[in-house]
Amino acid sequence: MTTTNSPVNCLPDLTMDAAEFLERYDRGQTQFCEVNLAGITLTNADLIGVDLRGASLQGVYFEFCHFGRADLSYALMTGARFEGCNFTQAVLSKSHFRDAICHGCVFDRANLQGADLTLAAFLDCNFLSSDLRQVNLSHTVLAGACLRGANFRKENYQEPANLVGVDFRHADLQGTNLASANLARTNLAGANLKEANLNGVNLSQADLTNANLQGAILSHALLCEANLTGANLRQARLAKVDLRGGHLTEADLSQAILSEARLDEVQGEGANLREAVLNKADLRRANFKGADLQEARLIDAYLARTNLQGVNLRQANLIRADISSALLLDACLEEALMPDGSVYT
Amino acid sequence: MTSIASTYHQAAQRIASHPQSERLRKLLFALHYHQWPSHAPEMNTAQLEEMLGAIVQHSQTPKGLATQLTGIVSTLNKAQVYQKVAAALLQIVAPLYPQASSVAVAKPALSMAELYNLRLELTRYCTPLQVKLLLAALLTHKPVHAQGLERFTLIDLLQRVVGRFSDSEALRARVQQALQQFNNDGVYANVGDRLLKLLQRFPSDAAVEVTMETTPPTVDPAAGDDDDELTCQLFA
Repeated sequence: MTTTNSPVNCLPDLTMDAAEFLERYDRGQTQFCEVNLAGITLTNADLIGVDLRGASLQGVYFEFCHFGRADLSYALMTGARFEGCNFTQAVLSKSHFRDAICHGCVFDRANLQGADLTLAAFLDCNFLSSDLRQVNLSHTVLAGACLRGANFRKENYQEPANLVGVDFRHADLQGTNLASANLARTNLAGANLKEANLNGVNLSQADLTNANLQGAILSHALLCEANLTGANLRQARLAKVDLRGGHLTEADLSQAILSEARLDEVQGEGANLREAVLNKADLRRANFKGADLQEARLIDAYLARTNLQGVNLRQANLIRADISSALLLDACLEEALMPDGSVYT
Repeated sequence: MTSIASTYHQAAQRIASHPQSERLRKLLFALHYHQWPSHAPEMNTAQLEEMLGAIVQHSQTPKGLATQLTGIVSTLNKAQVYQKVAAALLQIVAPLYPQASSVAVAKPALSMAELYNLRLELTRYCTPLQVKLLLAALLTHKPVHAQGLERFTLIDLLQRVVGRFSDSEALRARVQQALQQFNNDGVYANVGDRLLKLLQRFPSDAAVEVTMETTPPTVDPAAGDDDDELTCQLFA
């Protein structure tokens, strides 16, 4: 087979139908490298440990098949459909899943290094502790996928993972290390990113509506025009984050650290910023109408023309903050420490 | 106007003039048509009265209505906002039932973080598709096919099951019933057993009590009434 660049050469281009393949496997044959199984259908087949390196599985339909510890490296699975299949600890490095659909499959601890997942859909698939280094995820759908412990980091530390535009809706990325990854324009609506390492990531224009980012590390992250409406950012670390033009409406940022954050023109109506740290943050022209900033720290913050109408700033620390042009109509400043050091009464 | 007609007219007027009228009408639409509307349906008072009549007739008791509302609210991504709206709706509709008394709209039983942990635990010894098939079978009596479930994530289905079966005994009975569809396959029996056990670990859901005598719950009218709620394709 010439398309897969397989390093092995077992049964090159030998075409088999499903019956012959299963019969040979049942007789004890496990080596099927480079075999052509294109278009076959298999249901409930137990293919543990099968060697399908460089095999052609284009357009196959496999349902509830078990490929645990199988070797499918360099396999061609373009346009294939896998329903409820199990690939636990399988080797899928350099495999081709272009346009394939995997629904409710398991890829736990699988090696997918360098695989091509372009335009493929992995709906509700599990990738627990799988190796996803150098995977091509261009226009890939990972909606509902569980990716806890998955490794996206490339060997070359200078080249961050490219996940631009990936659909991670309702995906579980709790605790995942995605530091420096490019996640621009990704759909992370409702995703679980609790305690994820997102240090220095590019999340520009990403949809993080109702995402769970509790305790996540987002320091130095680029979140320009990102939508964080209704997101849970409790105790998240957002120091030096760039959120210009972003949306934080009804987001929960209580006890979050936003020191030196760029929040220019952010829409943050009704956001919860109780006990948040906003020292030296830039909130110029931002809209935090009706937000809760009780006990927030805004030392040296820049609030030029910031809309703070109806905001709760009770016991907030505003020392040296520039609030001279902020809109403070109906704001509660009771016991707040004002820019000149006086306590508001 | 008879007293019953007058009561319906008053309820319709309260909905029409409510600060959260659009959201109330969305909930009414979902109750009546079992489908979440993308926009608040335009309805005049007479149409509202007609829809209220159908809803009261269908749900039969305020408790039945509360259960239905809980099920709908739990499917929405703005569940917390709509919980208050649902409580307000219940407050308005409850007097239309002859035996109206104390009723409640339950809070979403599990947080999103808990749902993700539940998903992880459920898929530990089977494939996510097997879990989805069983969950879907709990939500509908119609045959379920894997491809038909592609538009729902496992989290969507879990939210709906948790919202619909607040009573563990009702869930247990439904699981037993659903397993027959799978010819009592051991894999699905294990999923059902695990679901029941895992749900017992989580605290029982608290409820917002709404009684006839209390002040209507406050609903924040400023909470951006956009149409980005998760489209609620309720199972039949």
